[in-house]
Amino acid sequence: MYEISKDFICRTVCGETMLMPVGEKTKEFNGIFTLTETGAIVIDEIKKGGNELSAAKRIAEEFEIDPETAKNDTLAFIGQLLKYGIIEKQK
Amino acid sequence: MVRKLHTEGRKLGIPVSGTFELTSGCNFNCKMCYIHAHNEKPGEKKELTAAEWLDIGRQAAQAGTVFLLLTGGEPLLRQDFPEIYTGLKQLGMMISINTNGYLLNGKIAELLEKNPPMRLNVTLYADSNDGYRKQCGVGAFDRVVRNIRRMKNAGIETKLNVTFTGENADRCEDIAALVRKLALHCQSTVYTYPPVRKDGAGAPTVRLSPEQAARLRIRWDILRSGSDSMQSALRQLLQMQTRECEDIDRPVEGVRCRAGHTAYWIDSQGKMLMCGMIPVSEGSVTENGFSACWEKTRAFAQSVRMPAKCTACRLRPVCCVCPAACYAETGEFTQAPRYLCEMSECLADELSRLYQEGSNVRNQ
Repeated sequence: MYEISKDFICRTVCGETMLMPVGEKTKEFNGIFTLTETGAIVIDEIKKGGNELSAAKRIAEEFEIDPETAKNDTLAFIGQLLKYGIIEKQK
Repeated sequence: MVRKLHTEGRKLGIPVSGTFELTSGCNFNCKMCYIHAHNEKPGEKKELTAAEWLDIGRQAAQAGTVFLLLTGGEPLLRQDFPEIYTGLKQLGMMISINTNGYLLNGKIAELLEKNPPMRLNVTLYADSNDGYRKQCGVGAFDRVVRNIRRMKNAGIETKLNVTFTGENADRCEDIAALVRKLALHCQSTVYTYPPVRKDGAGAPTVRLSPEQAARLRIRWDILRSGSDSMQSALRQLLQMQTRECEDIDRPVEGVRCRAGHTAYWIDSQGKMLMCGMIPVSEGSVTENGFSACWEKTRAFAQSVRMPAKCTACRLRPVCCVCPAACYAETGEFTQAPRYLCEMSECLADELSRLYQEGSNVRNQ
């Protein structure tokens, strides 16, 4: 299970889902991360308490792609989110 | 992304950008200022508290504001600036700050170094302490430049704004040299609005004549862009020559910029304006709430029409006319501002002359 780091806020404006750094995190990233539709699904699942599997399942269903590809892409994306400190594992 | 959000926001009526004018107070007394009155005493106007600004910020974020400019007066003059700034940033706003740079030291500098804004816009008024004294009443040059360098060295995105008036126009070469030395992006203006928000006062006495403004704009372009200014002159001449001027006899053109479509301005007392240069308010945000004021501001902006003369004018590609300039110069949106007509005539002549001179040099 993951959660969005306190250093970021997720906002959806004009149909765009964005992650904005807050506080001192802006020293590292002073900009906006915009998410693709699939990226927005992953973040939405994390906010709802889901995990990589529930996100991959939704992506496979909504975009009609094979579940294995959806799972691999989701895992890779979550790896990036963890690397940049945008999400963290729930304690 | 900025453009994309504004394009979508315009279709959907979302207030993507806002300006919070935190105070009309200032530690400078610039003759051309459109907000700060020289005889204004601190605390004379009842300005919003930090808690009120943060409440408006929450409502604005809820309504879709992403980009927020904090301005004044001099916003850093407020003792509670750190509280307002950090509170608004915590809402996920991308914040820019307009400042004269005098207070970018001590605790404020430490705060911004630790928790930087998206951009810092520092107005550069002159190239010496004497120049600052003449233009702003304070010999602040050395201190401001020291502070600008500190911000730049801290990696904060810093932009310079230069406003030319009769007090500093003769120093444009030296100001250009200073801007080059500082190696920062610079935006300049030669046109100063009549300060209509200050009790309907007339044009500032220090502003340039239309001819001076036109010549200085070209001089500045040459100083800043060198040979690229020739290409720019040619492009503008071509735009004027190929512009199809319709025979329009009534105002049909609406507001082209973001004002009232995706952008708003809230003054230091909480009144929402479509633009900081237009003293027409559709209500107090603290009394009526953000969303209600935004809807009224949008409706007002949609009702604004530009002068028919401007819509049909061949000089439009070089003219900086906008609804705010019409209103500030004439008191009406639908009247063409004579000052800008004269400035644009002169600009067109100067551009032709510049291009001709360039052609003669190339042909020799």
